[in-house]
Amino acid sequence: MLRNEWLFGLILLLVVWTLPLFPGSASAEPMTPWEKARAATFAKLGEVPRPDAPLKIGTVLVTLSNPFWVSMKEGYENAAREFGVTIDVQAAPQENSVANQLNILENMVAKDYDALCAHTITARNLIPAFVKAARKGIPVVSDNRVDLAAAHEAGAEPITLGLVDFYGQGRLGAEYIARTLSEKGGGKVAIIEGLPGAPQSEARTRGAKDAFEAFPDVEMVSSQPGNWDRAKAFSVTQNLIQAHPDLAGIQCANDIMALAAVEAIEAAGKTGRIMVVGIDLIPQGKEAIRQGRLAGSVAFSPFVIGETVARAAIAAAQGLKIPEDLEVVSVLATKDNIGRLADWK
Amino acid sequence: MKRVGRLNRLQRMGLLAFLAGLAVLFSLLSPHFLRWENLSNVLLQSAVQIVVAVGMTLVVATRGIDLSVGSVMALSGIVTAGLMKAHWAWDLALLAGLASGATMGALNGLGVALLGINPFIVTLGTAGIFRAVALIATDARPIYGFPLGFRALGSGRWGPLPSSALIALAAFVFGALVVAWTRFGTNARAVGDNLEAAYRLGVPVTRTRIGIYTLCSTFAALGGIIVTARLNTAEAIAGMGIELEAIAAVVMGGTSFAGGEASVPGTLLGALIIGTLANGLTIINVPTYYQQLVIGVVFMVAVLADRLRRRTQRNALFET
Repeated sequence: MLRNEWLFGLILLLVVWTLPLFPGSASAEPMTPWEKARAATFAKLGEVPRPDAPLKIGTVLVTLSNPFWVSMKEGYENAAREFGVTIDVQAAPQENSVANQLNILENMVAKDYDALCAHTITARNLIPAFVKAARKGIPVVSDNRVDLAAAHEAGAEPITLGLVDFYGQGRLGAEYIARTLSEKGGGKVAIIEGLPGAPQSEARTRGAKDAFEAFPDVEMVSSQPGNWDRAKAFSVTQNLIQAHPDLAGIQCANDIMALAAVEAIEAAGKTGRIMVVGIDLIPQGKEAIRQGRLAGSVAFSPFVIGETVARAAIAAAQGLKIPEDLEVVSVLATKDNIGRLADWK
Repeated sequence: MKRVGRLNRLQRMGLLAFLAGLAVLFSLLSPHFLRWENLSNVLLQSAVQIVVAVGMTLVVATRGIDLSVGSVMALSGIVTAGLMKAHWAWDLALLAGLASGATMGALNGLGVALLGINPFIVTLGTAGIFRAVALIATDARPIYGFPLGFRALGSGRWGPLPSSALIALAAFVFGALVVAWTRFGTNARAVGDNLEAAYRLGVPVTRTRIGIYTLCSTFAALGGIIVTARLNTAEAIAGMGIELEAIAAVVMGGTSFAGGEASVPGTLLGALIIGTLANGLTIINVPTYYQQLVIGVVFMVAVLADRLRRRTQRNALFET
């Protein structure tokens, strides 16, 4: 009898221990926005089967001297654990080491990986390595910043995922400003762009413009480059306040500039009278939203990008087709949901 | 003096043995290292460093330094690219690119030899100027899309060898011949050994120094053209940091900052050791920052070994 009690106790203990392994079984906690965005992103990719044979995947990132890429690397490592595959992650020493990055990928091609993931520095710097991979029949997963025409002409066929919908990010942030202002009877808004000519900046700006134009009682008075730069964005905001004292909202192409805009607004004694929204949700941005200084920031997860590209590579190595327009889901962070965004990475 | 020559050879044999040791080590650690596919990668990836470092060897032999080689690479690549975009034949554009490099080198040489400014200062200044001109001329945007014949210089193959490796080999042979067989090479070493004495002996000091900087920048321009061809892109950020890699290869190869001697074969070995390390460490999957650490340590060891050799050499000189 005593023995049975022991056994019962042991089984009970095992069940309790393993309970968290079955998602949804006992978790009363709803998914956080990050978990939801992650699940929605993976749903777009579809089921990725766990490979039967041990796969080896090589990855080259831009650099690891920036938290964004470190988080992405952790995403790759998480996917490697989840699927029981080996993923080697390398990175160029600096954000402009174009030739170094090419060397690294070429060396990886020579190592006979089952698939390669490549986050290119410029539109063309990795193309010679793509060509070598294509000759050896190694699938390469990259993103849509690659100049596909040049790659095809050279004889390479990389899989280029959409990954980040910059246009949608600009639109999401600006829509929040426009909707909020519209409920209060409208107002004047402006855009602070990134570096002129940079594709991310142009797309985010276009998205914001389209969102503002969709609201008749919202008037866009200015769109100026802030060069991704704190000091530049600060002076642009000062000038905007001078020219338009009744300005009510600013959509910025990244958080650095949005935080500078907030500083400029506070320095001008207009605290709380101009809604500022940024993009990227950097840690200081999170903090500013919590304090109510920044109205919002559009978040996208480098961790999930790493996981997604890894999953795509695992699928490609098994000969599966990848939806090329695949993008990670972006989420708008505001004071309403910032408390539940602690796990955003 | 015979013993000195023997010790120089010993130094080169030491570097060669070290390179062979590295190859053995990496091939034990990874089955992928000792394959022709990978070894040709090493040659391809070291080609630009070899070309630039050979030019740097000549400058260091005159007790000088050239910090502008990276900027010269970028600007000459852009000149070549721009001319091809203006529908010049690619070989003419290439010659113009080399000429632009030579001009930049002549400016460095004028500053050093005629104005008597420290080469470190002159080339630090021109490095900034040439880089700025490159950024302004292109508005920081890359120029891309070149004729196939030109691209073959960077990514093509001549027989089993990458074409850029053959260009590097030619540059090496040329540099070695200049140092060993020409009056110009002898003059350069004399200038580096003792400027005053060289002048009194009737060596055309000014002309030699200007010539050396011109030659160095022409080599750098060649490096810039290879990079442009390989990436099918010319951009203002090309060649950033190459001056340090080139100087490392030169010093590792046994050319002394005290001037007066130049070991072009040593420089070749130095560049190959650095290239092999970068390649092998990637192959055995060592993270980037550790790679830089390892390369730095190997560099320091090489310099210490060289210091030791010099001490022995000095003793040998006194004995004879």
